[in-house]
Amino acid sequence: MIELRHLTKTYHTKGKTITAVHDVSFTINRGEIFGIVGYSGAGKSSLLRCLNMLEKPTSGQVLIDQTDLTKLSGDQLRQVRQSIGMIFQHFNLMANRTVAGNIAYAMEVAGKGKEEIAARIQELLDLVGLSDKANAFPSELSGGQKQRVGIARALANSPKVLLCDEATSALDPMTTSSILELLREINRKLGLTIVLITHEMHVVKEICHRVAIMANGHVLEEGDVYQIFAKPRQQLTKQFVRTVIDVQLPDHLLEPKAESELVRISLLAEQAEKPMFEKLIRSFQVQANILHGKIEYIQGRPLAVFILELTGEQQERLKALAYLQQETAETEVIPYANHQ
Amino acid sequence: MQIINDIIAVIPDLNKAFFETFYMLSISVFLSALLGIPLGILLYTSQHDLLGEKPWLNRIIGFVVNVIRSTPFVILLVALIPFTSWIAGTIVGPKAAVVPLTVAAIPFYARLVEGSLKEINRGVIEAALAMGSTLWHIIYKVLLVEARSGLIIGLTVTTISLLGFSAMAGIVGGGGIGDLAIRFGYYRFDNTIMFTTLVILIVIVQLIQAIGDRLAKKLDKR
Ligand SMILES: Nc1ncnc2c1ncn2[C@@H]1O[C@H](COP(=O)(O)OP(=O)(O)OP(=O)(O)O)[C@@H](O)[C@H]1O
Ligand SMILES: [Mg+2]
Repeated sequence: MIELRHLTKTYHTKGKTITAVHDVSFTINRGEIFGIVGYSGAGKSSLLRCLNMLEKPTSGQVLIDQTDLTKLSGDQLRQVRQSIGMIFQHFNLMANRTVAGNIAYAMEVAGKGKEEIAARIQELLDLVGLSDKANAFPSELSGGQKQRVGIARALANSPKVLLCDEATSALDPMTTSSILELLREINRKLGLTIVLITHEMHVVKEICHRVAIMANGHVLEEGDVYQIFAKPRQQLTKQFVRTVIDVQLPDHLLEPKAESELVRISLLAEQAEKPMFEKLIRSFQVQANILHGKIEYIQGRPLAVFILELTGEQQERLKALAYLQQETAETEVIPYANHQ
Repeated sequence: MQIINDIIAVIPDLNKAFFETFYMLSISVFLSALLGIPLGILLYTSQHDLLGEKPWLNRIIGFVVNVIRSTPFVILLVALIPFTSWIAGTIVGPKAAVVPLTVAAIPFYARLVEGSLKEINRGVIEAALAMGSTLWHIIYKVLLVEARSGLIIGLTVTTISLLGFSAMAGIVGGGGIGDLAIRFGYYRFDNTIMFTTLVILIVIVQLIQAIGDRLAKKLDKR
C-alpha cells in the first residue's frame, strides 16, 4: 500500500550538503506494523517525514495506494494528509486547547460538523482510555496520557496509515509498553497500517511485523521481524538484535581453557524442538556445557540463544561445530578473552 | 489646605484630560491590535520555512517596521501631519493625535506579536500541517490560540507605551493627562498639579498592567 521508489532526501545548509535518505526503495503492506530502526542521524525521521511530504523528497517517489504524493498539488496533498495520521516523540499538542479541543482540531481541519466531532471525540477518548480527561489541558497530563491524546488526534479522521516518529522515546518503560499495546490494539481492531521509527530494537520486537535497518541514509537490511532477529545478516543488524537477545558471560568464564571452545548458537522455533544436544554429544567425542541461555518470544514464536562450552579434541570439536552450523540458525565461536 | 484647593481647582482640567487620554488610547490601541496582529503574523510566517517563507517580503516589511520604530515619536508626529490631516480631517486635538499614535503603535505591537508567535513550538505547527491544515487554519486556530497570552501581554506593553507617547501629542494639542503634567509641571513649575497628574498616571499604568497580567495568566494553559 505504501511504496517508496528510489527515495532521496538531501539537505543544503550553510554550504554543506547532507544526504539524509539515499536511494531507498521498499514496500509496506496494508495492515502491517512496519518498523524502521537505526542510530541517531541515520535518516529515519527524514524518511518518515517524506511519507506525508512534511519533507519534500529531493528525488524518487512515494506512492500510497498508487497515488504518487510527490506529484500532488497543495490542496490534494492536504486532502491526502487527512488520511495519514502522525504521532510525535514530544507529542506536539496545542497547550491552550483541551484534550477534546486538540482532537477536535483534526476534524475541524477536515471540515466536519460540530455534532459529528463531539460524538467522535467521545469514541476516540474511550478507545485510548482517557474518557474522563476531555476537558483537561495537556499540561495536566502525564507523558503517556499526552501520547494517548496524540494517538486519538491522529485517528480522528479514520486514517489508513499512522506514522509514528519515536512515539515512545520520551516515555518510561512501563508507559512505553502500554502505548505499544495500544498501537497493537489499534492495528488489530482498525486494520490500520502503522509505520514507526525507533532506535530501540525492543520496540520492534514488541509490535512490528516487518522491519528495515537504516544507517547513513541507506536501508541495510529489511524483512520479517522474526527472520531479522533469527538471522541478522549485516553487522549493524546483529548489534541491534543483540540489544534485545544478547547473553553475556561473566569474566571468569572467558578465561582461556585447554581443548575447549565457547560457542554462541541461536535456535529458531522449529529447531528448538529437535533433540539436537543429545545428538551432538552422542555423535561426537565432545562435552557440551550450557553456560548461558535465553529464550525470547518474537511475535509469539520462540527464539533461543545459548552459549555452550565445547570440550574435546580439536578434530571432534570442528566436526561438532560443523554440525551445529547446520542445525542452528546461527553458530559463532566466541573468542576467549586474551589478556596478559 | 492650599494644596487641596489647588487640586480642586484643576479637577475640571483633569477630568477633560482623562477623557482625552481615554479617547486617544482606546482608538489607537484598538487599531494597533487590529492591524498589528496581522502585520506580526506576516512578519512571522514570511520567515517560517513551514509556513511558506518569503524572505523578500519579510525583508521589506521588516525594514518599514524598523524605520518607523527608530523614528522618535515627536518627529513622526510632525512628519505625519499631511497624512493626519488627510485621515482625521484636522491636525490638532485628540482626534488628530490618534493618527500618529496608531502609526507608531502598529509596528511596535507587530514586533511583539512576532516575538510571541516565535515562542510557539515548531512541532505544534508540524503536527497541524501533518493533519492537512491550510495556512489559514494554522493562523487562526493554532497561532492565535497558542500565542494568545503573549498577545495580551504585548498589547499591555503597547498601551502603556502609548500612554507615554500621548503626553507628547500635546504638541498637536492632543491634550490628555500626560500633556497636562507637561504643561503645568514643566512649563509653569506647578509642582502640585504635576505630582497629582503623575500619581494619576502611575495608577493608570499599574491598573493596565494588572489587568493585562491577569488576563494573560488566565488564558495561559501551558
Ligand atoms: N532540516 C534539516 N536541515 C539540515 N539537515 C538535516 C535536517 N533534518 C535532518 N538533517 C540531517 O539529516 C541527517 C538525518 O537526520 P534525521 O533526523 O532524519 O535522523 P534520525 O535517524 O531521525 O535521527 P534521530 O534518531 O536523532 O532522530 C542528520 O545528519 C541531520 O543532521
Ligand atoms: Mg528522528
